[in-house]
Order: sequence, then structure tokens, then C-alpha cells
Amino acid sequence: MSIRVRRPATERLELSQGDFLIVKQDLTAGEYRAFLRAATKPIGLAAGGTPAMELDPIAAGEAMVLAYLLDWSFQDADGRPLVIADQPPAVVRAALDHLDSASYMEVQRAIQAHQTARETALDDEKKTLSGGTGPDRTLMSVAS
Amino acid sequence: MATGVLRGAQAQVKAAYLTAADIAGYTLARDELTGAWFVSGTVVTSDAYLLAQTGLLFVAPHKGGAWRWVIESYRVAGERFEARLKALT
Repeated sequence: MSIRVRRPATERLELSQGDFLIVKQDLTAGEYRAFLRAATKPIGLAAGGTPAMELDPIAAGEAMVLAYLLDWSFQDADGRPLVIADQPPAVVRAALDHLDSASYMEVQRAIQAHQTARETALDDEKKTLSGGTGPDRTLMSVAS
Repeated sequence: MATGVLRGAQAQVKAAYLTAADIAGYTLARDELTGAWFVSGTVVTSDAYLLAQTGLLFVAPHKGGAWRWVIESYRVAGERFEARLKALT
């Protein structure tokens, strides 16, 4: 048997100009489903009557940022901290909307790179864990 | 006897950064004899798995950030949430 629930962990992503993001290391299944819901839109029925979904690239980028982002070092135009930690989603979304577009894209690219890196790390982890040579329970019970 | 009452529209119970419950219309009060803080409010959404975890925090956002208390104990009765809080973190 294996542990299938991860403890919540965060990572710090360094940005330009000494700024940083604090992001979730991984999404839970519930968070991942919410991300997929926000990133796709139904486009009717495909052949065979199955519901078809289409990825909305604009919505997908924002959904990914909102799914992972916990905090950052950004300041507003007056140099005050732009607070998003522990704020409602509407506050975080509004703060993102008021960034200059280059800064927003830097945030999105950093989180995309983090997501890709985590997928690779998790794949490697699975390979390592599945390569064990421990006793097989079924065989042991048959032998006894 | 309760003193230092603080009311707010929305807060959350957190397990690390994950939301274990959204709480609406909360009231924080301090018992002047024991110094303990208590909070009550209405559960809007809850996650049974996360509520069963240890190290829960009561997080009340304000304009410049958020207040965070360690939850010492809590109970949920229907939509009613009540907790005894430890130190502000």
C-alpha cells in the first residue's frame, strides 16, 4: 500500500527584479478538477453523443495561476504590499487583473514552468517507488 | 464573561493553505477570566477530510492581510461552527 495524500507544501519561485511567488507544490485532485472546469468550456456534443469540451487558452492560463498562487512580493503603485495571501479568490483575481501585462505573463510562465517541473518530478518519483524489490504479498500468502 | 468582541463577514478554517471550511458571519470573543479566545459562525462550505486534520488555523482576512489563530478545539453542529482558539500567529 502507498500514501496517496500529500501534505500541503509550498515552493518559492524567483522572478525578475528580486520578486518572488509562493505557490502550491502540487494540486489536490479537487483543486485539479476545479482547474480543469475553469480552463475548459463545453462545446456541445461530439460524434456519438458524448459531451465535448474545448480548452480555452486564456481562461486556462488564469485558472492555472489562480490554482497555484498563494502569495507574492508585489507592491501596488504606491509601494504598499499588494496583499493576496489568505484573501478571497475575487481579491486575488482583481490583483492579477491590475498587474501590468508583462508582469502577469511572467507570473503565468513561472507557474507553468513549475507545473511542468512537478509533473516530471512526480513521474520520476513513481518510477523510483515502483521499482522496489520487496516481497509480494500474494506470493507470500500462497507460499504459507 | 466575554469581552473584546470582533465580528467579520467571512473567514476560513485552514489546514496549511488548504481550505477546510468557509465561515460566514463570525464572532470572536475573549473570555476575560481565562484569556481564551472563542469564535463562532456559520459554515458555508466544508471539507470533512481537512477538518479531521491536526494543526487547523482560523484565518480572518482583513484589508491589509489576515489574522491567523491556531484552533485548539472545535465543533460543528449543523451549520454552526464554534471553536476555542490558541494564540494569534
